[in-house]
Amino acid sequence: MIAITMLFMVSSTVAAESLTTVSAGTLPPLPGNVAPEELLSIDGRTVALGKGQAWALRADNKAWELLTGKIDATVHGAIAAGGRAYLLEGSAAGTSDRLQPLQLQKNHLKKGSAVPLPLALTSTHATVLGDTLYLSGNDDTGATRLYSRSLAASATSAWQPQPVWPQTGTPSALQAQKGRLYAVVGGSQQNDQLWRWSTEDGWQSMPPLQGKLIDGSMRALG
Amino acid sequence: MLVKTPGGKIQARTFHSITSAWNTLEDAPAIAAPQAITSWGNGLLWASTGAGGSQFQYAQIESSKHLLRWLDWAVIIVYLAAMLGIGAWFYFQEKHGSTSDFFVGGRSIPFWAAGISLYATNTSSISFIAIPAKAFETNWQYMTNNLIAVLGLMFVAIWIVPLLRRLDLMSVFSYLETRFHPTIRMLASGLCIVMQIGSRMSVILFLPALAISTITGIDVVWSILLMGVFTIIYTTMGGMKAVIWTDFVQVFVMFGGAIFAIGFIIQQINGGMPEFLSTAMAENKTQLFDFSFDLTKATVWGFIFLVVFDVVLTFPKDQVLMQRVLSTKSDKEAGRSIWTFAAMMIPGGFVFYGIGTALWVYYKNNPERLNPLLPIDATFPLFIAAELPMGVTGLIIAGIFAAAMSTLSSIINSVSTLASVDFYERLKKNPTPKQSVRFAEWIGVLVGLIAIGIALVMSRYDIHSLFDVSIELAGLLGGGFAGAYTLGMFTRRANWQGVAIGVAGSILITLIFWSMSLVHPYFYLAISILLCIVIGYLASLFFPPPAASLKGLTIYKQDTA
Repeated sequence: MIAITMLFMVSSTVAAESLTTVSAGTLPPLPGNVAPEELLSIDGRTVALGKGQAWALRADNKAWELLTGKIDATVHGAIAAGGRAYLLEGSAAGTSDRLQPLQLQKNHLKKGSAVPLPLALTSTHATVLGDTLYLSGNDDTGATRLYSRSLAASATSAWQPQPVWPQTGTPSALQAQKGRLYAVVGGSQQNDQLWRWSTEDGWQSMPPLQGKLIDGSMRALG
Repeated sequence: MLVKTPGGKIQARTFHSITSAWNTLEDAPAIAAPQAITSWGNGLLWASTGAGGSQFQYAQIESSKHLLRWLDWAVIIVYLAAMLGIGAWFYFQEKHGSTSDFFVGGRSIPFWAAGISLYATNTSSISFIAIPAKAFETNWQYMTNNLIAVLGLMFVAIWIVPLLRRLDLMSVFSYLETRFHPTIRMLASGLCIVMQIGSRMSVILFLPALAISTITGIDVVWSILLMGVFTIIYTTMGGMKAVIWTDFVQVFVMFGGAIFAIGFIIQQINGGMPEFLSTAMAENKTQLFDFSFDLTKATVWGFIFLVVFDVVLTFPKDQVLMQRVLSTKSDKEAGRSIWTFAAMMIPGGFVFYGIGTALWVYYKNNPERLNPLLPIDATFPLFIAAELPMGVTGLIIAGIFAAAMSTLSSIINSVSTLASVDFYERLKKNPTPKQSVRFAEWIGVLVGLIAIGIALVMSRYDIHSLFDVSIELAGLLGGGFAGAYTLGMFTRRANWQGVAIGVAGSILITLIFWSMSLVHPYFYLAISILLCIVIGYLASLFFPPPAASLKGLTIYKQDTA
């Protein structure tokens, strides 16, 4: 203990050096300066969707390559998790009614069989937790719904309704990480609310965001 | 995630899922109204429309390394030199003319030193890093294991240790020969050697090296070589006495660093001890006991089950721990060494779990000091490298080295003892004590080098799944022999034929369970021990009772030596 005390006395305290840095950069625009409507990662490649077409970023990050295969529906969101990629597709009025699985085969965007949603939803978000896909959104009465669907089972697997966080409002995000689900719920309030679900505790409110979540920006790290 | 503040500014923020704290990334670039967003490495890629059309921007978090400074290195070098000094001192003092000197310290070790050495051996660097991480992530429920283990160790001290100590063994597997058959001894000893070299030593070297490397940038290879080579030298030079007395010093280095760390963390918390206690207790971070009957949780009942099979019934065959007990002066001192070990487990538990909880409160109050990219196991090493004063960082890294080296030196000494006593002395006709000791020294060097080699391979290639399988297999193969001790000590009817059938049957059935994944790996050891006891006892009934005297070999009074 004497040695420790002495060490403490002779040593200088650590300057609060930064533990992390943020590196930033830019990428080239899409050919023809098309404004992308969705961005997602498929099979490890970054893909941009816009005007019914799709481009994949080249490995050297210096150019976008046009993919064969068209996106001919209205896309309301993209999900990429656990090596899987889906588009939330539906009507132009903002209602989603199906999940469109996507695969990338070289420079061809291949669509799988679309999975109908249990009902038409607005403000739809989805995430994958283990082998289960979770889907949230508001129904035509404005009530929030949460469903799960096993990805491991056959295509006949059904959507299962799940308990929803105890707050009314528009879901802004749904994200899975380390066995838990996170949902951000917006509304008329100034701050969005974060909710966390686990098998042990159910839905629990977390500290609010102190602002409004930018749609599509919630990601799991670590 | 990106958040638009009430003032209209877009900020990049992280939410830490364990401390439930938000942090704003102040050095993120300016972000203007993203239209589409996706993942980009450890960050985000977004598209927005500017004056020149659509633009793609990305931002991602990168970790910084915290290089050790001169005083840290000085402390580590002093520590390593001291370990070599202890080894050299015993080498020149003792000369190791007898096997008893080299393997069991001439049976002259005081109980308190043996007890502290037991604690040091049992506390590897994995616990130094993993226990604070567990308390950081959850609460103190896993410390229930320490508390129940104390009760288990009491049973060991009263019933098992005096019996084995009175037999004056050097290899615990000698008991199996005396009680049953030489073949059972050789098989059990051989399996123990393979398990220690193949699955335990290399992990003890590799995991702390990886954790230190993640934070400080010290190359994994250098950490492995430093710990491994120094341990080989002082262990083979100084024999058992050097192992026990370096363990003694290492416990002080380990505890000194850990106690300083917990004090320092609490001092850094805004509000000090009252804030630490109130925040931790409000969030149930100090919750200890779970009496529920939920099989999926860390309950008191689960830990009782674990302690009975993993501590009590396997203790007699644990050469690494038992060798300390056998080094004491008498059976009374042997029992006391276990009491000392048990007594240290409780404060030890509170210190290491306390560090994890203190870290949780600290990082909840200072979310900007947490690196979201690091795994949970790196939380304590991160704090050591980034927050502690110069010199103390070196002391605690020396503590992590100490935890690894104390376990490693004990294993090297035990494996060389087993190789010499159970094999060399049996296969070579009438070796001199000097030859036995020299053989053990070379085996010590060899097993140390093999462990370093495997650890280096682990640092280069991803062989973890292969490794996990080898650990599972070793565990389920070893269970049968633990059952043999139970049959030998607690029954008078068990004979060598029955025990051989019990060991073989338990291994076979458990292997079938394992190959078909019938139960959770957690249960293999218990199943294996139980099967050996049941099959071994029933099979013994088909053969005559043991013909030789059982005097001193069972716990029963009529057999007491």
